[in-house]
Amino acid sequence: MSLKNWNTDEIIKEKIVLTSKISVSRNFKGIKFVEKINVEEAKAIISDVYNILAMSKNVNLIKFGKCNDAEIKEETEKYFISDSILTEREKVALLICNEENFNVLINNEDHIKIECISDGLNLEDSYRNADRIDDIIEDNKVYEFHEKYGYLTASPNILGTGVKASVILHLPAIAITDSISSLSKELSEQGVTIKGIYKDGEINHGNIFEVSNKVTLGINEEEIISNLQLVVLNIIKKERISRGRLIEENNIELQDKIFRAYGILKYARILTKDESLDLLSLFILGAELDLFEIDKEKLNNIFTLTRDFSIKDNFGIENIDYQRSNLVRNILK
Amino acid sequence: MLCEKCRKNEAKIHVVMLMNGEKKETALCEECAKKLSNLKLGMDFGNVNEVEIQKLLSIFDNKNAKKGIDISLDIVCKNCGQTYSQFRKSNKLGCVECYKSFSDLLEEYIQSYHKNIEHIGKIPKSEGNKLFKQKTLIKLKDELTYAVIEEDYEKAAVIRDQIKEIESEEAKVHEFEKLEY
Repeated sequence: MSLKNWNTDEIIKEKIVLTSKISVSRNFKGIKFVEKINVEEAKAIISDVYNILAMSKNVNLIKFGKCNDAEIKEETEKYFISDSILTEREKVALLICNEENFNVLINNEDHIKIECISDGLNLEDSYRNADRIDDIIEDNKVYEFHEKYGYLTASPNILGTGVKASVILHLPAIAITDSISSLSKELSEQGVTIKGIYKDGEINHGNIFEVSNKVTLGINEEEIISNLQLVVLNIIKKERISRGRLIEENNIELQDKIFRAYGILKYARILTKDESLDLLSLFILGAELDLFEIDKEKLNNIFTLTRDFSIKDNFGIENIDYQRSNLVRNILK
Repeated sequence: MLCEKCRKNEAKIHVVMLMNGEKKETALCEECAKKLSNLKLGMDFGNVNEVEIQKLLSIFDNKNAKKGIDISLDIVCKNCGQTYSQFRKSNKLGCVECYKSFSDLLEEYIQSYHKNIEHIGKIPKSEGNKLFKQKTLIKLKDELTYAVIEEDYEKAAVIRDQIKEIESEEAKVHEFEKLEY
């Protein structure tokens, strides 16, 4: 594929692409899909997958049956997993390999979902990594495969390759100019979906969006990745154009928004997670438009660092919103 | 098992009808089931017209039913019990047999969602070998026919031996699989 190594300094300066993720969904032969299996059958799948991967990898296993609601929420947020697992938690487990940057979600929707997340636009490496894990499991256990439909999945929406490629993007200018819905319409014609990842009801926080392929059948893995990369490059172009237009047409209003955000981030003593997402998004936009003198390296991962799970890991579980404001002030110094 | 409607073809689709709370089941062949495709499966039939109700009832052979009855119709997967209407709500199937149980309707859905319904991506190694052999056999058999038409018997003999070789390999694999069970 020709788009490799496009992750240039320029893109890092404007960190529009946050992360890339590949997920590969598979089911094992002769076993019903997750909804129709009992807890014992589910546990057998968990131990099979764990035993296969633990032979050659350093892996940790989180059994959600043993976690409370808050712990599950934390893990789902950390690994971008749908929190639908709360309902049938006894069946579900997450196998994590930090060393090799992959995790396997077991018995949520499909028997397994291999996921590889990487920084920047790096779908090819993520796919290679996921494919390797897929091969290791396949060498030890037979998958459900159909000559015409490919890999069979519980939802026909992911049938065929079972591969979802997704890229997480920070799109403040497109969002401020209310252009997300028209972008969404345009993308759906290209077989790509876009959704906000930090949602509170209908409201998106932080202007952070996930774009992913809709179609998984009748297309091969390479095409899924290269199509999505092209779409992402196009969205980046649109974001830049929107930024330029905002500066030209609404310069004072834009600066006002950004400096107000900066003021609150700098002086607030309580920052909720949603408020911090919205304000940080504006602040980062300001920094990328060179309104502030700040080492942009410091802003890397700031969205992740200010999530509840990260604050809890680093500063304990007391006064999270206060700890968050301290952390933000320190980063912005 | 034969289709309960035509009693000719093999029954592949299991249909359940709820009529005034009473459950009726029947097993149909694909052809008879196709006649149902025009009716909305998984929906209540309270408001559909008389012709459609009669069509529906004729499949279940129930002539005593009156007009205006409360009917709903569904397909159920014999292997896992998942119904087509449950699938439409949750978008989840219960097992691989559901793909056969809901065959035509599901294929229509897959076609509309994915546009193309032939898998062209990765193939498991074991399947890859089997698929490769199947495709080679088809190709060789075509070539054999062509060689015979051309009266190139020398070439035909070579192709025939190649076919025999692949087929005997396949037979050995089948024997081995039988022994394993």
